[in-house]
Amino acid sequence: METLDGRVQFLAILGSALLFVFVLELLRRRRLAEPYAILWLAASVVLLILSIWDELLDSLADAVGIRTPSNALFVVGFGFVLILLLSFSSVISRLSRENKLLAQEIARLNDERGTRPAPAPQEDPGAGERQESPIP
Amino acid sequence: MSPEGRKLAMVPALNEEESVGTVVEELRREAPDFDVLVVDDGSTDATATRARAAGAAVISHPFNLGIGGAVQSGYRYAFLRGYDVAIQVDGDGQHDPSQIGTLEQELERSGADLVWGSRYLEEAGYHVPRLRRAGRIIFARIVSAITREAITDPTSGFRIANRRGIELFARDYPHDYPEVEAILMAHSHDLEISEVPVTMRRRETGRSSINMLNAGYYMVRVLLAILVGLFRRRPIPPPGDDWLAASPSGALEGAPR
Repeated sequence: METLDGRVQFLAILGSALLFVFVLELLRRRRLAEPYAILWLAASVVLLILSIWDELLDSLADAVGIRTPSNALFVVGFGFVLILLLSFSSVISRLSRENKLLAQEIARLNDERGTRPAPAPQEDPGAGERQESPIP
Repeated sequence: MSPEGRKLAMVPALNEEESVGTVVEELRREAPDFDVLVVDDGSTDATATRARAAGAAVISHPFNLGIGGAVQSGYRYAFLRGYDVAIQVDGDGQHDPSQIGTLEQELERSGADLVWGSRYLEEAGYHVPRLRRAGRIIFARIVSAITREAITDPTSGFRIANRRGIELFARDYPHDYPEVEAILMAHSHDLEISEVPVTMRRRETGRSSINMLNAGYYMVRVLLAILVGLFRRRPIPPPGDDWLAASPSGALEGAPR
């Protein structure tokens, strides 16, 4: 059973501490909403705890049969990445559903008021697959 | 100035078809000088129809925005239509419209911009789950410490605001668990706040938005918001003249009367 290399531990502590502070700063500047910030904060706190308290990391690695503790840290970090990505997919799904509803609602209002929608902006090649005209 | 009058009662409602009609009728009876607006936050039942039938103006969100979004819609409506006083009343019947006078008097007496009713006195049989009560006490301590006022019930949603309060909340309002944060927001913008004891009723229908399961999450969220809020300078610049009316969308133009 190995223990966590001192340099790895230093980097892990530094990295997760920086992440923690950075997320708080984004939150303070209102660049990040609380529900997402909470996930990120949880990830950075858990990683910080595991990298400071290396006996806990050792026993965690031991319990699940990972030989090197740094790999256990990696697995935990990867787990958080998966959770965050999945939550983004879920949020994006909700946003596109709401976006569609908004577009439909605006169309209905335009119809009701006899107004026309503003001319669509110039086609943006980055807009993706929903564009009808082929992208050059 | 608004043709409808100068005072607005805002009722955020999500799937409250059982109680919203009664609440609106009672508001019109007990507080006849208030116009009534129901903010239907994406209900899938007959909330909007019942509210309209009972004589309220209704704005309906195309989907659920959450309580903060619903309340803010009410304040935007109040701001754009030139109301001078706006009061929040829950759609589930727990706020007693006959107590509105108490809030109004306190608004006048104290000169505060935001006044809310504290469930200091509760009717017999009003059951507050222990967790909820504990949460209220913790938040009361924190809010009292930050604002340096003796506050007992910062989670109360029964609140009244004058034009300054309306303007602030029309511009910016917290999202999911907004009550505590809204008070601190008002405080950080140098608005005066005040609390007055009211009696509240047992909810007629519906459940609290805070149940045992998400109580912990609620605490963490609000505590984080409070903590981070302390380190914000003014969250937003001081109001200009026509910041909202000048928004290109003409935000509430389509609202039914």
